[in-house]
Formats: sequence, C-alpha cells, structure tokens
Amino acid sequence: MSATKAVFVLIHGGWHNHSAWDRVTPILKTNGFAALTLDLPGAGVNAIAPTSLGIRPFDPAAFAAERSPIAGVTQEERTQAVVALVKEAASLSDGKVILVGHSAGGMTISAVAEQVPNLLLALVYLAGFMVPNGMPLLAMLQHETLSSALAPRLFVGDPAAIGATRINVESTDEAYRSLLKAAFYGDVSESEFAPAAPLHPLHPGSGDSVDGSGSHDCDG
Amino acid sequence: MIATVDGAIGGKTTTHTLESSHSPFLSQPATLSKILIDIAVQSLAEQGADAVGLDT
Repeated sequence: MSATKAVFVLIHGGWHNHSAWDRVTPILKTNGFAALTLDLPGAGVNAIAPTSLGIRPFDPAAFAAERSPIAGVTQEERTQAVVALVKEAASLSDGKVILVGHSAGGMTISAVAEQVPNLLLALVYLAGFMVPNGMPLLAMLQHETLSSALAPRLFVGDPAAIGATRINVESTDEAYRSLLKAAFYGDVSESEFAPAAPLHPLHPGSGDSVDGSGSHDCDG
Repeated sequence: MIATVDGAIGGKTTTHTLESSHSPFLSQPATLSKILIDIAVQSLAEQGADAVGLDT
C-alpha cells in the first residue's frame, strides 16, 4: 500500500451487512485504494432474528410485539467497533482514512468522527443520516425532511417499544415486497432483488436494525 | 436530504448527486466508486477532514 493512497472504511446501513459493498471494494482496489468493511454489532454475523420470525404459522401480531434481541446493542458499541477499524485502516495508510456511511451508518460515522477526527481525511454520507448532535435516529425519521421517505412505512411494531426499527425482510406479501424494493432498490432488477439472488442485499437475519433512541452526542 | 439538513445547520459539506435509488452500491457500483475515488483524490490534495454528502 502506497503511503500516498487513502484507505476507505465502508459502513453499511440498517438491515444490511458488510456484503453491501461487495461490488464496490473490487473497483476501489483496482484503482489502488484499499477498503475495509465490517458487520456492525447487531448486524450481519452479529444479527439475531426475533424468535417470532421463525415460528410457523407466522403470527404478525407476535412479530410486531416481540422485544428485539438486539435492543441492548448501543450506539457506543457500534461506534467503538468502527473506531477500531478506522485505527486499523490508519495504520495501513499513514493516517489517511476516508470514512463512508450508508443510510443509518451515517449515525455511526458522525460519532466516530467526534472520537478520532485526526485519523480522517473525509466523511462521506451516502444517502446517510447526517443529523445534528444529540438527535436520535427515530426523531430524524419523524422529521418533516423525511416525510416522503418510504422506509418508515415498512416498519413493523413500535420502535420505542420493541427497541429496534423492524422490517420484515422475509415477507411474501406482494405489496410489502414492492414497497421494500422501492424504498431501497428502486433501480435494481427484479432478478437481483429476488429472495434467492446470490447478492440479495437484505440479510435474512437482519429484520431488526438500530434502535430508535441511538444518537451521537458531543458538546459541539 | 443531506444538502437540506446541512443547509439548515450551517454545516460545511460538499454534496454530490447520483441519480440512483437508495442503494447505488448495488445498482451503480462503478459510478459510485468513481465518485468515492474522486473524493479521495480531492481530499488527499487538500489534506483536510471535511464532510461530503452523496444524495441519491
């Protein structure tokens, strides 16, 4: 790795995992830029699906009411996981790190930037939540700026009560799946969005995402 | 969204616009990568930690 190159740290959004970047990292590497990814706490290999999601016959009411298995995962845990990855990236790049956060990943990169600003060249919010300090994700989702957003219409249950923003990534309801595609993958082909697609973007175990109370806090 | 929020809070953000859905890493990885690389090259030239928004 040349010392003149920056290293990217790519942070996935809600209901996703590190594989979201699988089509991007090879291109960055071909152009001489290393890229590090991870599964955030509560996501990807760290995800725990609600028990009710796997019970048949499926009970929508139970699914909507079950407390999230990842409700205890905090923003601070996500922040520290990424801080560690940024430090690793900095060691590879003489401190030249570009931190990218997709969607809800924006909450985490803001918090990381407050802790290790000297290691970062730039923060990139990819359709990401760049919110004022102290504003929780749930408050941002309810802000008028996001009044036309589709994702909140997918929510199952009360985020405050179940401790997570929950969607049903395994739903077979045609209208729900159509909204799911429109919210996240409007310009992705139907075949790529099919549940059996090799690169299906929504991890089956990721029905729950960051809780609605998480925020990044600083005095600034 | 990013430009709107940043304008409201008076932040210092450069915003790029990509005509895509919410997830260009899947639908337009080459275009997204080019923007990221351009940001890297520009940031290396400036050596400053600024915020960059990428609205889709």
